[in-house]
Amino acid sequence: MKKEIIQVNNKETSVKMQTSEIISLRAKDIDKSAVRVYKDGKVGISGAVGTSSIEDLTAQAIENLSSNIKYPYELEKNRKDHRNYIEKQYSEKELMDLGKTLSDSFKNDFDDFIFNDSIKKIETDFRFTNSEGLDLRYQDSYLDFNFLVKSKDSANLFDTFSRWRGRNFDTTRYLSTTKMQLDAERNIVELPKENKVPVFFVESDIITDFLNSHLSGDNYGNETSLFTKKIGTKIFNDKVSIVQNNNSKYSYSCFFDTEGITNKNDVVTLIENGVFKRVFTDKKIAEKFNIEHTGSASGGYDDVPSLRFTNIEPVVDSSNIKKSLNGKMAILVVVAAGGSFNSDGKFSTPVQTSYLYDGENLIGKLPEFNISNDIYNMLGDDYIGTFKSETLYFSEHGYLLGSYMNIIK
Amino acid sequence: MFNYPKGFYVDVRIEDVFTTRIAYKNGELYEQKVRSNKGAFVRVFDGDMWYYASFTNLGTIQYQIDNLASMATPNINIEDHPYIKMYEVNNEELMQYKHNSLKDVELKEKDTLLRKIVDLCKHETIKMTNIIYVDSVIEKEIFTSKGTHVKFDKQTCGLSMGMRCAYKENKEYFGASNARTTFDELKTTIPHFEKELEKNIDFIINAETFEPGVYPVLMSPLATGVFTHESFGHKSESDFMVGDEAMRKEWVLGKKVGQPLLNIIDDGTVLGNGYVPFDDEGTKGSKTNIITNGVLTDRLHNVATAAALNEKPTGNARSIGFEYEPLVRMTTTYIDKGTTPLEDIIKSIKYGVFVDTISYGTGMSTFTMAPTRAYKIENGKITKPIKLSVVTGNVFETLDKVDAISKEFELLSFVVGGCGKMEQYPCPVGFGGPYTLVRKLNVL
Repeated sequence: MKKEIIQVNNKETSVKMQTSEIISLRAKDIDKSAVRVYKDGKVGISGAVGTSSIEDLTAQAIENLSSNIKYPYELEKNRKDHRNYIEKQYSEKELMDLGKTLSDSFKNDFDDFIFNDSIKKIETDFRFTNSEGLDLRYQDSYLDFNFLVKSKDSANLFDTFSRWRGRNFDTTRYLSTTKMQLDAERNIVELPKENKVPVFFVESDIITDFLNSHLSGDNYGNETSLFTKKIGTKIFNDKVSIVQNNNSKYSYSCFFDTEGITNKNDVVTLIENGVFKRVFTDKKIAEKFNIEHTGSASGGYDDVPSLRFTNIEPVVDSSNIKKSLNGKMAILVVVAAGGSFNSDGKFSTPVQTSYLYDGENLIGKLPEFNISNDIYNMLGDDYIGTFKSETLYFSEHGYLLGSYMNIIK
Repeated sequence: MFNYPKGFYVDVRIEDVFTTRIAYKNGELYEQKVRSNKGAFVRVFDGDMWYYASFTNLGTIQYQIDNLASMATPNINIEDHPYIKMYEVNNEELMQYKHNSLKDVELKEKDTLLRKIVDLCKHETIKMTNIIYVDSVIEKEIFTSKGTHVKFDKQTCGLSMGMRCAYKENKEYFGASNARTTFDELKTTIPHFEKELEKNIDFIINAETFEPGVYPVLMSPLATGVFTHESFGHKSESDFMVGDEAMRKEWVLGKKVGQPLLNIIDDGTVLGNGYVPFDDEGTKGSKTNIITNGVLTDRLHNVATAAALNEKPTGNARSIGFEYEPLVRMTTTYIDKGTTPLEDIIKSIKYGVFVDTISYGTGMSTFTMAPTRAYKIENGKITKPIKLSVVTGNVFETLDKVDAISKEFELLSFVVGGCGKMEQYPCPVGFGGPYTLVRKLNVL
C-alpha cells in the first residue's frame, strides 16, 4: 500500500494594537499531521490537529479507504527538495520592540490617526513525504502587518489600510510610505474630471480572483469559463502575461502543490503576451479533459488534493509609472470592497478608499465613487501595465496593476 | 483545577471539536472527513496587557499559564481592575446534545441525505456542482481565576448546494445552504433545495441585462440579513469605540439612526450558528436590542469594552476557535419583522429591483451586496430575472430610506462561509429577517 505523510507546524507570534497602543502578545504553536493511503485506485485520509502518531493516523486512513474516494493517479516519486526561505528570525522580544517602535511612531508622528490590528511573525515548517521516495520540505518565516487606520475625527470603522508583508522589514521605508499615505489622507481632493481615468490596483485580488475562476481547467473543461474554447487565441493586450507562480519567495506558501508537483522555475505561464496558452490543472482535471497538467492541486493538510485556486499573478511588464502616465493624474485604489465581475466579464465596484496618484507620490484622498469596465478592456486596450511597487512600500515583493477605468461619480 | 499565579487574571478555554464533512463534486464523492480536535487558549492579564497562548498539547496548560505569567508583571491590585470586577462568575453545565448528538448519526446516514441533493442536480444548464454536508459538535469548558467554571455544548449540521450553470451567454455560480441543530430537522430542508434549483434554472435561461441606475430595491430575508450584518451590525461591535471619541459621539445611545419602523436585534440565545450560551470569556449570552423604533438603544460588548464604556457586558466575546482570542462579534443579528404583507409591498413598487440571493456583502460607510439572483419589479409584480454586479448605498442614508418591512420573517443559518473580522474568519453567525424595501439604492 502506498502512503503519503504531511506534517505541518505553524508558529505565530502576534502583537496587537488598539488605538495605536499595544494591548496583547499572542503565541501560537499548532501541529497538524495527515496520512494518505492508496489502494486499488482509492485514497483514504486521516488527519489530526495536535501531536498524533503516524501509526494511529495510518490505521484510521486505511479504515477510511472504505469511503471509496477515487484516486487512480500515479504518485510523485524519487525526489528530494528541501527549501528554507528563512532570512531573519524575529524573537518575541524583537517583535515586541518592533511593535513599540511602530506604536511610538503612530502616536507621535500620526497623532491625528488611530491604528488598530496587529503585526505578526508567521513561521511554517511543511513536510510532504511518501513511500515512493518523495521528500519535500518548505520552511519559512515572514512578517505580516495589517492595520486598520482611521482619523480620530472620523465616524467610520476605518478610513484606510496600512499593510506590509515580507521577510526583511525596513522600518524607515514603511514609515515613509505611511507618512505619504496619511499626508494624502488629510488632503481631500476632487476626482479627475475625465470619465475614463488611469487606475492602479495594489496586488489586485479582484482581478486575480476572477482569473483564478476563469483560468481553472475545471471551469474551462466544463465550458463555464468566460474563456472557453479560446486557448491559442489572443485575448488580452500584447504586454499582458499571467502566470501561476509557486515560487515561495513571492507566494509565501509551498513551492509544491498538494500532489507534490513542482514546476520548472516554479512558474507556469497561462497567458503569454496576451495569448491564452493554457489553463491550470491538477492530475484529475488534466486527465478528465485531456489537457496539460500544471501541478495546481490545492486543499487543506488532510484534504483530498483537488483543483480550487492557485497562485495567479500578472508578470511585471513595465517600469516607471510616472513616465507611463505622461503627465496625467491617476487613482491608486486601496479599498474597493463589494465589487464583482458578472458572468459576462463586466466589472464594477464601489471604491471606498483611494488616492490621487502621480505615479510616484500620493497627492490627496478622493471621495467615494464607482468604477467599471470589462475584463477584455481592462487587460486589453485600457491596460497600462504591471509595475513593481517602488515608491510605495506596501510589501517586499509587491506590484501595481494599472488600467483605464470608467468613473461613475 | 489549575494553580493561578497571584497578581494576574487568568482564564482557560478548552475546546473539543468534532466535525464531519462530506463533499461531492460533479456527482462524484471527493471528500469524506471526520475530525476530532482538541485545543486550548489561555489568557493572562496583568492590568496593562493581555498575554495569550494557543496550543494543542492539553497536558501543558499549567505550563502555558506559568509561562505567560512570567512575561507579564504581577499586579497586587488586579482584583480591583474594572475588567476583573466586571467578569461574571458562572458555574454551570449545559450539555444539551448528550442524547441527540450529531456524533451518533452514522456517516452513511449523513451521506444518504447528501446524495438526495446530489441526485437533484441534473439539468442541461448545470455544468458543475459542489454539494457538501458539514456538521460540528463543539464542547467548551471555561475556567477563570475569578471562579467561573462552565461547560457546554453546541452543534449544527447543514447542507450546501453550489452549482455553476451556463446557458448561451449566461454563466453564473449559485449557492444555497441550510443549517439546523439536529439531523432530523435537517432532513426536512430538501424541498428548500428543490425550489432553489428550479429558480436557478429559470434564472440562467431567462436572465437579461439591466440598465444601471438608482431604483427602489426590495431585499429578501437573505439580502436583508446580509445588509443588517454588514452595514450596521459591525458598527455595533463596541471594540471599535474604545479610545475613539469620534465613534463614541457618532454612536451615542439615544441617537435616531433610522425610520421608526426599524428594530435591530442581536440574540445569542437563538439556537443555530450564532448560539452562545456563554461567550468565550464565560459571560452568559443574551438578547440585545441594538436599535429600537429607529433609535440606537444598545451595542455589543465583551467585558473590556463594557468596562471602558461604562456599560454592561452582553456576552458577545467570541473567537472562531481555540487558536484565537475572543473579539466582540455578532451572534444572530436581524431586523425584527414588520406588519406589512409582502404582497402589499410588491404591489407598491412601480419599477424596481428584487434582490433574492447574493454571493456576498460588505459594509463600511458604504455597503455593497453582489446579487446572484435578482428580478425586475414592474407595475407591482416580480417579472424578469436580471443580471446585476452590485447593489450599493450609504449605510445611514439607506437606514433612513427603509420604506417597508414585511411581516414575513425568516432566520437563516448556513454551513459554509461566515463572518470575518480582522484575521478571524469564518465565525458562524445567524442572520436573516423580513423582506425590506429601500426607496433608493444604486444598482450597477
